[in-house]
Amino acid sequence: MTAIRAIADKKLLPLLIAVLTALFFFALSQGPAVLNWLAALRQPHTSIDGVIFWQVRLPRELLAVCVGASLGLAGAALQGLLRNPLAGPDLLGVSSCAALGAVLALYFGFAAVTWLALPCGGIAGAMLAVVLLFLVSGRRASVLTLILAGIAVNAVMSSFIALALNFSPNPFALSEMMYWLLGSLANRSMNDVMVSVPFMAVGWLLLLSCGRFLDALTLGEETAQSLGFTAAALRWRIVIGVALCVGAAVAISGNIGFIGLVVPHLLRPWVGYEPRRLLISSALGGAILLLLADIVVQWLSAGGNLKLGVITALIGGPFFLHLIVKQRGLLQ
Amino acid sequence: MSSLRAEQISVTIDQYRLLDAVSVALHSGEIIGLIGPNGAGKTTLLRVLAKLLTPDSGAVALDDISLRQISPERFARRCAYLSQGAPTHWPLRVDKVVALGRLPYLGWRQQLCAEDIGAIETALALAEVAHLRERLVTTLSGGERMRVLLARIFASQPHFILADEPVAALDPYHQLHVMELLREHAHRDTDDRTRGGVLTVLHDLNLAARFCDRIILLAHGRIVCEGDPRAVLTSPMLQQIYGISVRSIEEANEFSVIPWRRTHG
Amino acid sequence: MLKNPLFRLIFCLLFALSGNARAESAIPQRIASLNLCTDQLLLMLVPRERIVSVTDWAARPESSYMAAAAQGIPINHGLVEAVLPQKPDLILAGEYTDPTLLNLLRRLGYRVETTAVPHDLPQARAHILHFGELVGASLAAQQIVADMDRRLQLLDARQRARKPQLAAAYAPNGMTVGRGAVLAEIIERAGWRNLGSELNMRGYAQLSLEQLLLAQPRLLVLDVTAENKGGSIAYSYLSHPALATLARNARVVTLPPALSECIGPMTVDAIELLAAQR
Repeated sequence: MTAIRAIADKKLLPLLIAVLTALFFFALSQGPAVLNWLAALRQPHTSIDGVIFWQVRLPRELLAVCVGASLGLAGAALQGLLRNPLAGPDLLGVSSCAALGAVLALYFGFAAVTWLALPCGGIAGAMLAVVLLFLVSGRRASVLTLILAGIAVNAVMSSFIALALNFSPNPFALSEMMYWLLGSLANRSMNDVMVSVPFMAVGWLLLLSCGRFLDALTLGEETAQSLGFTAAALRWRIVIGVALCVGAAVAISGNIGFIGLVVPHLLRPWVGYEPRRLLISSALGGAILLLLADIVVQWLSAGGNLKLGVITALIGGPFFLHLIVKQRGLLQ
Repeated sequence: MSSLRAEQISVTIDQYRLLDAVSVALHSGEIIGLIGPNGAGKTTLLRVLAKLLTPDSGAVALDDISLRQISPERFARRCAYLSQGAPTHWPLRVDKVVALGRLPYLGWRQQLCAEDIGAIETALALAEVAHLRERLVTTLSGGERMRVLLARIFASQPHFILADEPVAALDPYHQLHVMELLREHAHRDTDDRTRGGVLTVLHDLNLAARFCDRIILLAHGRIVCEGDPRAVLTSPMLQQIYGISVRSIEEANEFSVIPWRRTHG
Repeated sequence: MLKNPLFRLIFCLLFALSGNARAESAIPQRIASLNLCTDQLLLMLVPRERIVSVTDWAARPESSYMAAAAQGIPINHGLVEAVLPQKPDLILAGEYTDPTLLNLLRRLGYRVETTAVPHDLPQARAHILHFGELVGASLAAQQIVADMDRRLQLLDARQRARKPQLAAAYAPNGMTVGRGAVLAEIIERAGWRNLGSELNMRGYAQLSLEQLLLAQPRLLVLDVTAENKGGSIAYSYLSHPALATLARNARVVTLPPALSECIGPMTVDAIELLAAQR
């Protein structure tokens, strides 16, 4: 095992990148149509193969990669910041708050006024949640306080989402509750990519730049500060980064759960538990996991009726239970 | 000759006056013990000196430059802080923990350069934890862990070390070892520039007497007495401040006190 | 509270005890209708003096073919309790109104007729004729059916001239129609081939965008089943950029809900609309 760990130490990133690339191209080849790749590349706008590839498949898989990366990265960052392996954007209510923001923006017409409304709604919701979390549980929160706060926020936000959908003028609104609670990447277009990925990218930059601070936090907040980090400013940077990543991701794909919890957990032993190395690995791992889930969804229901979150929950739920058993001591 | 000087520091939190016009000076080449009863304000004073807490009034200066004008990174290269309890939240390898001490020097670099690696190796050797380098820090005993954290401090190559109860949970062997390492840092005799300074909060009067060049006795947020251990750790003083009687020992030119009995008043 | 069965029971009993006589007359003079499709048929066949109330849907131009005719007629919101005080001598309910309640009303002496929803045009003809008898407007019903037949014959004659091309229906959530759904019949009767039927789908089924694009239909029928206010994920299916590519080589027509909600003369309107796209 130590031999494998030693290899993983140096080769983990290249391995993850290789798997991601392979999976990405595999995902692009899945679908009811058998594509003529040459035609697709030579005539992107005029041939049907081109339209299917560039406008139907590529946006969906690009979003799977970006949303997965954002959720994985945000999970790793939250866990590093809160020094807690059970922190995850969905568990702590950040995702559902983002969903509420997106719901208000979409169903009440703001998104029709400006395309900015949808991602900004999600981001505002996510920011509110993180700020609420800090207010409610304080800076040195125990595991229990954090999880309880997350449960409370999740419950309140889900009710507000249902309420908002109920009062929405659109007749389909209430039946779309499942979309917001479980997430889906069906029917995505390049517009969706343009609307959300820039925000996610800024979030990635912010979070990746905080790697060394997260490493320093291993020794506690005071020691981190004594190592030359301005904790307050960096904490805000992480909060904003998480809000951008989770907010934009949820606004465009609904609340896909468990990625922010499962991926950092799986990868942590392979990066020697170092929070900084975990960041980029979790981003890649999250992208891989979501791509895999999307491929499974497409196999199981070509029309896309099955929600992505069902698959991630089927993987993540049992994993989470296993985690609880393993971490029983931590929760005391 | 470097110095870390605090002048007229006052700190009030929640209407409770933690420090009242306290002045302290730490110079190169000396190890100062900060003692006092629980709640005297020792940790608060240490945090102010370590630039972790801004006092309500008064100023701290490193080599006569106000702390406010020194960036956190530059300050981190000169002064290292060992917090109470010294937690390690993730089970990192020992050498990775020690490498954290190089963070103030890394800037935007992600990789360690030769200089960093040299400093880490020196630190591991100084703290005598080189043989533990591949162990996970959470699997170590209390004493080994504290030495690893000290190695982290040494890796930053600081001038001044500010330590908050570094020996609290250690067995006698490791208590002595850690105090010896701290004293060595202060007295290490090359030239004036690399001689460090140590200010450590201690509860153990015995260790304070034996290892510190100077003692500062803090009570109710004020300095009651400071100076040579023999001058500060006297029976009447300790009776007044701690409410205890002590026995003093003079052995081979070393002075020590042993808390003996509780007195009343 | 109004939907609570116990409350309804008490309310009805009280009303029954108030002693109003409800005699069955040959031609109903006070007809109340509880669903959109019966509303529209009623408005087509019967003069307003004989109608006591229709649902609020009937008056909305977006969803009702007979919206103009419904203006000024009292509204019930599909609730039985709203209808009773109007003392109807005929209550027309749909398949989905609570049967227990309807049975209770029958036992109390009200004349309640439930009409099944017709699933295709032949059934629709029979349904209109039967309906005409129920409401005492047989002659009007026969005229309407005759008119439908005539228009359909004209359409059929025109069809035989040309070979049918492929059409596809697309509704919110990416739904299309297969065999058995009314819209499929409308499309085929209008002289087009229906993609959903050719893919062996039945009723309403999900069509993936890829399949739709691959098929390259010459006509895209947007089945806007309900009013679209505000945004929704379902409606975003209809505005996917790839559909614009499709639209370059195909005609796009939006089928208003007024023509597709119920089967009847408005269905022939829909068929004529699609046939005109050829």
